[in-house]
Amino acid sequence: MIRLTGATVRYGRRTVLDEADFHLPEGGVAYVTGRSGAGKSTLIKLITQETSAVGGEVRVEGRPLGEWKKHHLRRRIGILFQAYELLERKTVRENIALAAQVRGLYGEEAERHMRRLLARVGLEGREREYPGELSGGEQQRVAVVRALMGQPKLVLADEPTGNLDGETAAEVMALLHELQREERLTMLIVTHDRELMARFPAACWEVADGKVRSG
Amino acid sequence: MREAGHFVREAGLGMARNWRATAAAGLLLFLAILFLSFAVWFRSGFADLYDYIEDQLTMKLYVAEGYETDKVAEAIADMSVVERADKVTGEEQLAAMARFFQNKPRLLEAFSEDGAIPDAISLQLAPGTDYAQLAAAFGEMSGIEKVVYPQALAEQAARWASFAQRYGLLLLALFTAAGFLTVFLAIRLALLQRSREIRLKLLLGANPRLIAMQYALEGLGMGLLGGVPAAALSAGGYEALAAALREEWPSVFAGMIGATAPTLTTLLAVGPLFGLLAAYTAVRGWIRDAA
Repeated sequence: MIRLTGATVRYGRRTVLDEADFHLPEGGVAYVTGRSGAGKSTLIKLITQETSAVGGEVRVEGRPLGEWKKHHLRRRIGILFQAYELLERKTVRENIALAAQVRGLYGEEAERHMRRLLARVGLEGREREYPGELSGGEQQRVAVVRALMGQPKLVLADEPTGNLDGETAAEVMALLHELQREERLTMLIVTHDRELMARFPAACWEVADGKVRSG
Repeated sequence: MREAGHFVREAGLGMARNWRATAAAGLLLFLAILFLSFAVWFRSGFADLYDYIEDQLTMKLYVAEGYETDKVAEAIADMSVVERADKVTGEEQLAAMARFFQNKPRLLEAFSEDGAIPDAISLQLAPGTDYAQLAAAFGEMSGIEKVVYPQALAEQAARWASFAQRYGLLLLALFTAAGFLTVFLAIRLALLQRSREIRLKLLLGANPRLIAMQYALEGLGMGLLGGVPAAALSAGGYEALAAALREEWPSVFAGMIGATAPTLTTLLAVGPLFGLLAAYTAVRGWIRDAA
């Protein structure tokens, strides 16, 4: 699903990824860990084309990144952020509909999909509420539903439990693993929470000194 | 197509959300287009009148019997205050006057009684020349029978016309620049306010061109809001003025054309195009960087 071969990313003079290799097969789950500033988020940005490699090759679904139109690729990826990135002035429903609409999902089909996912994450009947009225864990669950609108096969989660307390973080992580199995997703989770990684085992990669090593 | 529909709706919502900026941009565009429209209407409608006034500003000399107009003109052309001295035949003078007597052929005939109007010498004088003093000097010269030079009213009208042409263009440029800048800034402000939402949409897979289209449509809306009423108002005002002038001074304004459909169509399109262009300029680089 995702393959990096000798990928190099530089921000100015600083080399963040230095001829890094990485592979995540279809249907697989992988944690990417490492110290702050090591380049974990850069790996996600590289895949979503927010940044580009100056050397090496990145392939998604077997195709080099250069062959993808940026927005076509992004529609196939569900993305989760540490700070949820919900729009405060929009209701839960509107936040989710935003993803549906930009991905070309409308009407009854979008509605059915949204209801199913909201029920799945335990937020049925909360569609009219605003993000400010929800707890951190609930907001991240709304973000999970938004990420899964349009049925992407790849989910990139950038520290999805970073803003949550221990128990809520565990609930969200459990939910992600369950959804990964149910929806047959390929999932890359950036985290540095070793306790959670031990509780929900999966392949683990560490970013250090510009390299991505299987750990 | 449905995806584009979403961005069209978003454009409408965006304008409603930022109604103050939209109204300000619309108002400035209204003023700019109103000014431009009046300039265009008056330029087309009063072109003949302006030519007539300019014609009246040249000094004309009528040569006495026994003298040859060509030779007198050659002699006068050498004078320092004279920039040009041209012979104008009686037929040419009659032709120039003909349009002012369109509906009164008898009046025109009265001018050509006893044969044609005599040939004259048309003079273009150096700037700053004292017309009255020079006319008096020409009047005393042998061979010159009559001197005709601009009347005070024609001179005043010409001064106004020249002022309007010079400063009118400047005002037009100022209004145009202000209108463009306001739309540009209103769109940039909207982009700034919604930068988080735009970035999120882009990450979710929105087509950057459709996002740019959304903001270009907001600019188009501002242009429609300001430009269309301005063009319509100017056309109505001009029509009313033309009708009043034709009724009051039919001999001068009989040939003044009314608001024509092609000009009105062009003016109606100017505002929206202007808004679209300003918005596109504002959004183009911004979206490219954000994507």
